Amino acid sequence: MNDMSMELRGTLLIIVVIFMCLILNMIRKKSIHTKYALLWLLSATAMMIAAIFPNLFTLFSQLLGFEATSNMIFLFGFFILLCLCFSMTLIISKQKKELTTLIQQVSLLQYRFEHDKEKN
Amino acid sequence: MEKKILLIIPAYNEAENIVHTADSVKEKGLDLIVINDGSTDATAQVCEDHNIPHINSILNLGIGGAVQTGYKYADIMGYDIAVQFDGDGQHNIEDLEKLLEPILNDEADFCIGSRFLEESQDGFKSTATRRMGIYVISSLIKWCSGKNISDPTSGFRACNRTIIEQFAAGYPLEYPEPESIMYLLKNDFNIKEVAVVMHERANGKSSIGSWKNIYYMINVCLSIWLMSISKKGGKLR
Repeated sequence: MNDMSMELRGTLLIIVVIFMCLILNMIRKKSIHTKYALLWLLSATAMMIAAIFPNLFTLFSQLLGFEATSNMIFLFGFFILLCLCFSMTLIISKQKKELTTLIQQVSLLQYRFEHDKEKN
Repeated sequence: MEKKILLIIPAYNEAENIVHTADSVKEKGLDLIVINDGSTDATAQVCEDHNIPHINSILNLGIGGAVQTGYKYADIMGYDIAVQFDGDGQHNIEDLEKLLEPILNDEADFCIGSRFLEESQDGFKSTATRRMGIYVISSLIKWCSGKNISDPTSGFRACNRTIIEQFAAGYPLEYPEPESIMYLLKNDFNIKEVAVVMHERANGKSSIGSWKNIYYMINVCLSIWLMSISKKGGKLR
């Protein structure tokens, strides 16, 4: 039941490889945290497997009782994106709290600094 | 021993009101600190020109973050009592003595200036919608803690040293007034309310827009309820 054309698989593979290189390069340049990049790398790996062994996905979807392979891929893709979004909300919340503390401390220090400057 | 008292005055774009507010405090011979919460108007300059002690928050934090900066300052400077006092001219300095009394006499750890106590005189009691919201919050607090707090959103509050330290370490950022009250009730602090008169804001707009009211209410209720079921002795954050 493999109806994925060679052209489509080729294109997908090229895109995934470019995507992976980009992420790896970003990790190398430290512009993205390894911790946060891992999820993206995992999803890229999943896409790569899909491009190389599409039959594997067909087999899985049949085993899990999906009517079409695309249904399974959409469901999982949607689920992975939800997880990514959720983890970002967690990260943002934590950073907001840290940022608030930071702003308060800097403001207090600046106040003290100006106070000291006046005295001298 | 004389207790050191500090008035924390959060101000966001209050250039027109802040001098009047600060002067009324200075007349009473009390220490004050204005927290200029990243105002985009001349608030900082006005404070500078009129010699009003002020901390310029390097970015806008919102009311919770700004007030906490004040508590951190009070903590560092070793104040015994801190009072939150709005910079917009809503609160009346003449009520301060009443507010401080229960804390000076060790009758309470925390004292709220309420508009809705029976003995509260006329004055400004907010709009009908807001009053309804306040009633809902008040009922929820009663249901969660068994205590009556008639004006849980009041920004005119005084607290003792223990609470200054608590608030310096952790203070709710989004819905600070009701949530901090629930926290204090949960942790067996003694809260008292005294009747005060509030004015309508002298100049400018209030920080809560009416279209956000429903969203605000849901969030406040959720955070109060979650606070009431969380563990005692935990940190406020």
